[in-house]
Amino acid sequence: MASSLHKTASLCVVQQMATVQVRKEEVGENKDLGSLFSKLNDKYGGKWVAILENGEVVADKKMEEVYNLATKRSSKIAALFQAPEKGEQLFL
Amino acid sequence: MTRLEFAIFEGHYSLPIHLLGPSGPISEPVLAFFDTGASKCGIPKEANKVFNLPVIDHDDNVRTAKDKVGYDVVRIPTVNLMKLDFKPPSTVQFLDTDLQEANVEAWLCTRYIIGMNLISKFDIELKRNGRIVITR
Repeated sequence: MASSLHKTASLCVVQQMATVQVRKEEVGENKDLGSLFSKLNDKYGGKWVAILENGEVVADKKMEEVYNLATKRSSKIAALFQAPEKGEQLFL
Repeated sequence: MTRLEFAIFEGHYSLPIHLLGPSGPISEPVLAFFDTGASKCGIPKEANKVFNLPVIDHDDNVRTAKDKVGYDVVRIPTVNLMKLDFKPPSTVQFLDTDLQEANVEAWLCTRYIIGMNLISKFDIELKRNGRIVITR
């Protein structure tokens, strides 16, 4: 029963779109998505990184602090990711 | 048929996902590791302090690269795979798609992970040029 309710709920969800223009002082001039995220990784490696709806980027080692920083800047988080540390190889 | 294509990045596939509840998003778009070595999806334990998904189970025999660990399990109402568009130099657009799955179990761990319980619901093609194509 619970399962079918969830299924119905998921089909009712309105598709959402989030567009954010990251501030140039954060990411410089980029030609593609890879170079944009590379810039962010170079700057914020090893941290949780949030791109805010106002284009600002905030980062911290603790995810909770990233939410706090967004609140302090009165902006919502548009996207969140965990930047790998420089040279980090993953074997999850 | 919806088709998503992503490039390998920093040695891994990181795909944007959206966690949705019955009345809308419960997370912002997040980049999750695509991990065929994980039986289940994962979300950071810290993130669930915000999402408040109830723990439904506990797996105490999860073998990682380092150790054997135990993780609480939650059920995500819906996971939506997102399309990621980029307009140079710095505009990023995340768009929900109809590639979504309901009732996805996930471990409360340290990263966002797309594990085999979700990967197996889609057609996945790994390309020689380092790209991944997802369809259903």
